[in-house]
Amino acid sequence: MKKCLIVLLAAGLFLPALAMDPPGNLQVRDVPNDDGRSLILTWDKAAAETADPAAFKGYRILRSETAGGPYAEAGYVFPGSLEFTDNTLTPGVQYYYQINAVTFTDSAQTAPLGPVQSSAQWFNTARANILIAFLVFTGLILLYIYKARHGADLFVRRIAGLSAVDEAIGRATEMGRPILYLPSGGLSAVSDIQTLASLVILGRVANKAAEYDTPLLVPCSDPLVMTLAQEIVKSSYMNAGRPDAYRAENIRYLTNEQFAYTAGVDGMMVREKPAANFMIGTFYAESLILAETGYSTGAIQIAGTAMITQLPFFVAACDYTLIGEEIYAASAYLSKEPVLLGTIKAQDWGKAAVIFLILIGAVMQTLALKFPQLGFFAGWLMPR
Amino acid sequence: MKKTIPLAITFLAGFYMILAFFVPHPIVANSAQEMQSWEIIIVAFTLVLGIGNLIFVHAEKIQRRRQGWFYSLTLLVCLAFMMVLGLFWGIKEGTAYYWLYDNVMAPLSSAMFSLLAFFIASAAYRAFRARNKEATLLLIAAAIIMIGRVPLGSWLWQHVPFLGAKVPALLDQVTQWVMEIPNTAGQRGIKIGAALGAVSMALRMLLGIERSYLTTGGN
Amino acid sequence: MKTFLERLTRIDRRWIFLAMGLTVALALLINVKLPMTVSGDVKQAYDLLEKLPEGSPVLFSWDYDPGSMPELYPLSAAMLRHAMRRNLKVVMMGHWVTGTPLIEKQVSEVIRTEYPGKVYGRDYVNLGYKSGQAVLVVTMAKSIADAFPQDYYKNRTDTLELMKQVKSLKDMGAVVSFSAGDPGLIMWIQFAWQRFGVPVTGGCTAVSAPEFSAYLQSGQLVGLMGGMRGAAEYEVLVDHPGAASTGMSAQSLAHFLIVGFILVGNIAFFLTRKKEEK
Repeated sequence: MKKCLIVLLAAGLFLPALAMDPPGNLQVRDVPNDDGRSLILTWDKAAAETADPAAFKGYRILRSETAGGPYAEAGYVFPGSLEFTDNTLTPGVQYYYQINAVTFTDSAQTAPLGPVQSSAQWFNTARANILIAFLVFTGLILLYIYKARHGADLFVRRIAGLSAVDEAIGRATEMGRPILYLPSGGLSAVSDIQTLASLVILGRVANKAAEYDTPLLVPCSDPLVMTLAQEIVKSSYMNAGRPDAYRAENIRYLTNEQFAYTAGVDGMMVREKPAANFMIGTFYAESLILAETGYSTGAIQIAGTAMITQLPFFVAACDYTLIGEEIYAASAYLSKEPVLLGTIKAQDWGKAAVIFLILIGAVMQTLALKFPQLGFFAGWLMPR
Repeated sequence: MKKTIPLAITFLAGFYMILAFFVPHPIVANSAQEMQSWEIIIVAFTLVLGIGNLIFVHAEKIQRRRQGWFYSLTLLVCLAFMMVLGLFWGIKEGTAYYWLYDNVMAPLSSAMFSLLAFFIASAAYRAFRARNKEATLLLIAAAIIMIGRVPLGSWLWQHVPFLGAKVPALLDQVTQWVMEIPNTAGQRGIKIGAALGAVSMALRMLLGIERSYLTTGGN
Repeated sequence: MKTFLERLTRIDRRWIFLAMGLTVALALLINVKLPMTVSGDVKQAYDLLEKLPEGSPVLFSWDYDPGSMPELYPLSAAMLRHAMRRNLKVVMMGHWVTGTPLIEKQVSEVIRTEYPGKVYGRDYVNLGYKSGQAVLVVTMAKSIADAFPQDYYKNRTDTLELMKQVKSLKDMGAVVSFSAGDPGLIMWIQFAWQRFGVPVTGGCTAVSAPEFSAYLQSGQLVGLMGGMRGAAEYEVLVDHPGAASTGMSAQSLAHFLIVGFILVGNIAFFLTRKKEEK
């Protein structure tokens, strides 16, 4: 009887340990399309997690460079997940892994798996679609530049907002009041392509302003944009033969705080009453606050942005609005330089290609409802 | 030469970053990452440039006693004051900097943003006129969205005799339809056009075709 | 009559401002509670946090500054409350330098006051601000400690208990961005979701909400709270009415006032036009 009790007690003591199984089916594979510093580990759910989720803490991932250890913790996975990406590896080094399932009272670990090693790839195959699109588009641009250089006649439709640039500058000159140019709103950055497009237009505006001897105010919310704007305006004045009329203090930095910038520009509009306001580039919630203030001062306003949510505000409060791609077409449109016009033509063909792909994608996705094997196309089109 | 070197740098740096987008191998990826780290550092330093310009412009205004010089003085004093507070006493909760942030800067910024409500009202009143078929359509859509997006609209609709009781969710459904179908479709069109425009602009710059931003002004 | 109509088509905008100011102020003072219906987008975002296993790490990014506080602050409070209630581990950061103290404010108001049992470093971490935008996000996917060697309180990031378990952006169960512009939600979609596969949700100002419908439809964004309305709906879901719910009556009346002005403007416009035609 006593013996029986001892056996039972011992069994009771060891029972939890015996009940805890390590997670099964541990597998390791290289992460595709990466720099060779990662491996993905997968395993099956530990029995303890299914049995008592509340008492289950998670999985500890242990790693060593030798099969015998010592093993150090490489990561920790919370319950519910059965995958771990170890992204702190050295390519070419061999590793061994163990997974340790942990509850509040116990733990169990798998046998070591390995050796495994990660490797780097030279081409990200998931981005093949983007590479193809890039090459086709670049090819189109080069083709049309070639055509333009060889005298092809390229037509570009009239863009009202750009045709009105001269009118606006002329009006400011007649009224003897300055021109205000905003190369993007309160959150601009020089790396933003819309800001760069705006700076290109600024060059043209500055040229005309210099010719007419009309002051040009350019408040900036980014110091680098300010530096670039100063250089552009300065050389425009030099090109126009008026270097003496250039005022560096008119192209100045206000702040990179969105609404403080808005307040600053509003103040300039109300105090200095510019007769022409240009607001071209990236704008956020400040768009209407600026445009309405400009409207109240009676200025002629030309706005332009690819920010979809701000377009309605500009359309409502400004005289002319450049919509989306029109701001990028501005330099070609204003200079009428054949090479630049060629790139606009290529852009049109690019757009046609996109429309074609969308149509095919839509048809194939619709057909995929009946023939699922056709669904690959839309999946392939998705950028990664 | 003055133009060739910047163009060469633009070309090489630009295409190297494009290459890094397609090549994950560390030889390319690490150097590209390094270049991006430089960008972070350069951007951080430009703040000095900005503040320098700010101080220069306003100090000159004060010195020459130009109109409004007193505001320039206020600006410079506030700038220095906040900087000193932040640098020497920290920015955590309970500091003077935090108190000023919470009680001066936050309400001022919010007040600027709140102007939008007033300006939307005045712009909508002025611009939303049913001048033609398209403008009428726009007007109706705008009214539906404005009423449908607020709880009072849904609540009132449910109390419209007959119709409201019969299909209580109609207003919400129509609002959602306008937002999800015509609105999204139009946006996608503009987005695709703008994206292609941006790519073409970027390529023009990388290939050196667009160089008016390189201080060549109008030529 | 004609002069009255003409005057009506050209009301001085200061009258409109006055009417708007009075309406909003009155609505805030009276504060009528209106029944709220929860939209699918908000429910989807709520479910994302609700269905994460307890103890999962989530990243909250404060991508706004005090300017957008009225719209986004109540939302970040509601979502932080939800995460705390669900025992999620919250890693906080911000891409806007002037918005960083807002994280501290929120931690103080929500966590320290309502959840005093939560321990800094174990249950939540405030990494603060770092410049770099998209580059920073890519660095975080490699190693958070590399991107943020120190937290907001100048502790070494890799010594914090939570950060020993959460080493990379890829370990996050979700990214939540409270976004007033760029850098913000779109950047998180482009990088956290598109490149590293971490589900992204968040809130934006009402002005920019329509922009996100394309991302919602394509599944690149898991739910969205647009403006104060989105925040009010989230408050309903976490059953903790706050500033957004209070603001809804003001917003409702403001919307109706604008529609009213548009109506008046159009009636006057038509009547004057008819008279001129005669």
